[in-house]
Amino acid sequence: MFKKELREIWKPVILRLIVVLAIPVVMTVMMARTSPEHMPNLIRDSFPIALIWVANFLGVTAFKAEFEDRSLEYWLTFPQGAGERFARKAAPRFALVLSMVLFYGVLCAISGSLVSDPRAFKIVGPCSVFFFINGCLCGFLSDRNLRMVANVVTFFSFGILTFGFSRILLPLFPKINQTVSPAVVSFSAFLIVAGIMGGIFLSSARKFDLRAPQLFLKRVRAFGLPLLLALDIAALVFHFAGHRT
Amino acid sequence: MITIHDISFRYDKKQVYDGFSLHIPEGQSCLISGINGVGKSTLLRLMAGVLRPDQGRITYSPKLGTVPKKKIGFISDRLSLYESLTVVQGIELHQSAFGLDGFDDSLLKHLKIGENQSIKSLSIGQRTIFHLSLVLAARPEILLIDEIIHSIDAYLRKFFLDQLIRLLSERRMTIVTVNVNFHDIEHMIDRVILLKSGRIAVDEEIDDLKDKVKRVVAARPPEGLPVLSTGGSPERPDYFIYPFEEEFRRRIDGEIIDLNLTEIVAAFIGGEYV
Repeated sequence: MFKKELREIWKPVILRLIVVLAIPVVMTVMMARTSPEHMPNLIRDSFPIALIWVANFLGVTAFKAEFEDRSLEYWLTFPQGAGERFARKAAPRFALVLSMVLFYGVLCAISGSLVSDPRAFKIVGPCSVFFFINGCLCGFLSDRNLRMVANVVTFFSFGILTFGFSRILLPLFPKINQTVSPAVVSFSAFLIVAGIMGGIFLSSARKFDLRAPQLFLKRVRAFGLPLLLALDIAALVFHFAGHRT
Repeated sequence: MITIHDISFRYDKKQVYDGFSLHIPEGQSCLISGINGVGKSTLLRLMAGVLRPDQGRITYSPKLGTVPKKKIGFISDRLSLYESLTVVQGIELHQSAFGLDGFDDSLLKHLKIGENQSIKSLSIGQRTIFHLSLVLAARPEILLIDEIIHSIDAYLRKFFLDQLIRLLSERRMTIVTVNVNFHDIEHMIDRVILLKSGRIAVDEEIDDLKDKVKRVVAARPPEGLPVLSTGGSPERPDYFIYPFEEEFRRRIDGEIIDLNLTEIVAAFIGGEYV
């Protein structure tokens, strides 16, 4: 099982990593001629993007094979409980995300100058968790177009809600370390988005069977995406209205 | 072996079953039939555990242990295997999922299916046999087979059914099959269940059913007899009588013909379309 899941994800993950890492490598080579000190910053800035991209992709692949092969039915005949089912899907993906985080840590350590900059780690932590969970949930949508829309909407919702919450939450933590309060704001936005998507998922997957993907799809389309969009608009209105006053 | 207790099940707005109950004892070969969309495959999927009833429950014999799915083999009409895998990878996956040590590849060798061949490249018939091999590797107590037999060629169909008959004689396995073409499987069926509007319309042992359904070829409708459906041509009409009783022979002015299972089911289904 683990091997089958890993077989499905490792090749595309490597390809995505190469694409993402190729950019800073090329830039580094170019910039190294004039200012070699940019290299660590490029690694710091580009690797979270790679991690987010890959984590999101890993989530999307969670049920992709079952949808493409129409093998969800076969998979459901396996003698496994609901928890075991998701653990088997999640374990190889978490392992890959974790190995990337470790790899990132090694890169940070090697580049030396980043070790003293904790911001990089603050970005990677919540974002990878958010995108992994969100990606898994979006991967559960059998409709490719809706999956794409859901990924984009949840991604921007996470950003916009963070933006909106910053008006409320940041003034509440004036004396807290400047690196902690943005993480609290991001985490609040994460909870809202994950709560909406996760709530819909749990209500659909309560009785996990062949109908669960259709039910989830229907509910995300009917409630999840409109609710997130409404919250985004509210967050933006609140932020800018507050800004003007 | 399988007991369905008062289940309800619906797809969106379509109520398929409401208060449906059924018991299938150990070692029985049971055929489920009915018109398209009546819920035959849904019933099989409910028994296999890939669909769950909205209400009610399905219980299995304690012989199946605490995880009944380990001892249930389900071959869906979709033949939904992982197409991206090779045969050997498909076998490994199945072994890992069901916790199996060995795999009998004699069926695959017979069909000259190569280990490194991709599942996608297998024909429908080969895929059916491959799926059967996978399912049998777990030594199931219950075998659920959806409407696939008619979609494979004559040689593979015979091969598939011969394997089933061999298994039935070797092991006391419970088989539930959904089918519309019964010519090949008639000799291995013990019980026939015909579904109508989410309910059991007919539930009979096959021999009893054959005694109870007859075709009457007569110039005019047999008076006062239970006509299930009609067929034939306007010049030579047929009347399907159910339940047929021996004393009817005296009252019928025409030819009384015994029916095979395909004709019996067609007579019931025909009655629903008229």
